[in-house]
Amino acid sequence: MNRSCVRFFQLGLPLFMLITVSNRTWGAELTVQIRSPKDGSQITQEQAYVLIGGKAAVETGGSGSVDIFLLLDVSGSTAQYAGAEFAEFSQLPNWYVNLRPGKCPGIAKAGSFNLRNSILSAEIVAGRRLLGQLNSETTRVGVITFGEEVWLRQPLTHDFEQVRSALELIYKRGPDGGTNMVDAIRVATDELLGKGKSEKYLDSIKTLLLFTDGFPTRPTADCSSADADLAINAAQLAGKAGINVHVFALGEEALSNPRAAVGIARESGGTYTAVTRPADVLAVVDKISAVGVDSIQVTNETIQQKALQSRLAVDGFFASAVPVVEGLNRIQVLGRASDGSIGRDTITVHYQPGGNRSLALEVFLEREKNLKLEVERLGKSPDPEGH
Amino acid sequence: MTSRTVMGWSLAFWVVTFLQSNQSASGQSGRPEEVTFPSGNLVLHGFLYRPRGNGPFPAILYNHGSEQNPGAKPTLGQFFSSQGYVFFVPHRRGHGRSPHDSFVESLRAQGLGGIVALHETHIEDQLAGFSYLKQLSYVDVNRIVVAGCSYGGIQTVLALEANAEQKLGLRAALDFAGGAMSWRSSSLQARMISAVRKATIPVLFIQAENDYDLSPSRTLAGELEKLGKPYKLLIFPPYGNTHEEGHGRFCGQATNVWGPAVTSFLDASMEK
Repeated sequence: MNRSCVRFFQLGLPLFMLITVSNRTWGAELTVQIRSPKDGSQITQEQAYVLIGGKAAVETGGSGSVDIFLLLDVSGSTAQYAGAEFAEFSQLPNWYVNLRPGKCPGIAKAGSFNLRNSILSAEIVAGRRLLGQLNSETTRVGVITFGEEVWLRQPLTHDFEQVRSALELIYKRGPDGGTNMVDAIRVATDELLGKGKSEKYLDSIKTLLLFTDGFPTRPTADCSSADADLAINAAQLAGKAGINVHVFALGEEALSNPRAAVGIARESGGTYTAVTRPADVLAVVDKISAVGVDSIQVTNETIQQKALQSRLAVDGFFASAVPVVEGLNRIQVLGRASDGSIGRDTITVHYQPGGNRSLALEVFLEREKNLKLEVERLGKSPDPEGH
Repeated sequence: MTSRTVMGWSLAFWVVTFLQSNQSASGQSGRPEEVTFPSGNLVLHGFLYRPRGNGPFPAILYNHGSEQNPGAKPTLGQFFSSQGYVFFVPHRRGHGRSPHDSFVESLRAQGLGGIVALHETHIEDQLAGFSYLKQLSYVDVNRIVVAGCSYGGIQTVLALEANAEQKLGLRAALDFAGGAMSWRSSSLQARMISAVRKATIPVLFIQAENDYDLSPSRTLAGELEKLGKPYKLLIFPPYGNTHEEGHGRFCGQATNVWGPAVTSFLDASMEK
């Protein structure tokens, strides 16, 4: 070992470790837990893939339950074309709504728009897409809409069918008025903190997903930047109460005037996602994490092969189809947290070909195929920014 | 020469050398001083040049481009300080000597889609730099000009809006090629047009003919023309042989080309 190497181990390495350790948040580490199958399981099935399920989350000492409020912008401008047709709305009749110029100057154009392929529809489809991936046993979802007024459409519930019904009703009501983002954040914060109609869960992880195609305008406001300041302030208070606000800015109006959206995300400790073509929100809505996990990687270490399909949901639950070979298979799930730290869990399963096909595996692969198709059907997003 | 004379000259030489080195350390004599200033929870860094003397001097708040390491901009610093201006180059978060910011990185990773959001975050650093500049005893707070190149030119245009809404007291703006590399973003266009319409001070738009795109200066100048607001548009002949030379090198190095026009514009703006 030369002199510089010795010096590194004497001085550099301890310093490096000190810096690395001091940048970590003590008491909040990424935990990855494979919940099924159990370690040492014997699996006999036709398919040479095993369905792995579990949860990854940056543990903060709570119960691990997750509360998510969807804040949907239903302002008049959400009647505008989202940039693509949505397959699940294709059976619905055309529904044209007239968009009048807003009170505050923006770039939304007046005209008649078909709600079937509107920005509002994109928000609803994105909400439904999320519901299909969350774990209703430990995750609750609520819905608030904000236009001219703010409405609690669905208090936090484990019953996702109720949430789906609320989303359906929101579509039927259609868009209306301004963008009262300020009160929406305030009402959602109260709901998450148990001060509203939702049952109080003290130690849950609390998250707001805010979808907007514009900027804040309260009914009583004068279109000044005061509304943006109030919205940022509301998000700051939410952040102090442990509530992250993840903002999806949909389309040109939101992207060209994002001061409030950026401030809301930043001050609450959330994220800001720019969605140039609103329909593409489907492709990005499940990329964020309420539990601080960026990604998972599932590998069969015995044969050094990665999973065929993996899905990490917003609430940290994951599922994955991993290839297996006859005999013992050592399977590892490696999670990566937003702060770069990693966590892992490993199990061993014994696979025997034969017997029946695994229905759960087929359902998972079929669902993954559909989720992928849903995004592919939207077509290629124009680049850059639709021009 | 007597020994007393030699000692006298030596002492004089030492005193002069000491004074010069002292001036250099505080940003005089064309050498920058590295300074720090707060922006939100962060402590940002920047470089400061000052003319000889006690002031108060007019000042230029210079917004660097999107380069990762903007440095001290010595050519510009020496040029403007030799013209009697304090020249300040704050490093925005995520650039140069200022700290990394993961939120800024997440916006940057979104490319053109997140460009306006990134600017909205960075303008807070620019305004923090402005606050720092204003409290320097040798800066004339009534004669501060905002300037910038490329990404910094966009920041300069956004400062026009902040100046109008927050009554910052800026006197003029120099936009070197702001948006020339990102004008294809329709949201950025909308944002810059909205900001420039609110201008309450004279704006000088400068580009070389072989820059990536001349549309930003022409469009923004056109907006001010329509509103009857004071502006000047200068398109210089091609500088160098490439778009990059006509863009970054032109604003960062070609003081011999644009220097007289810029000082003339600044003189006129300061007189009012």
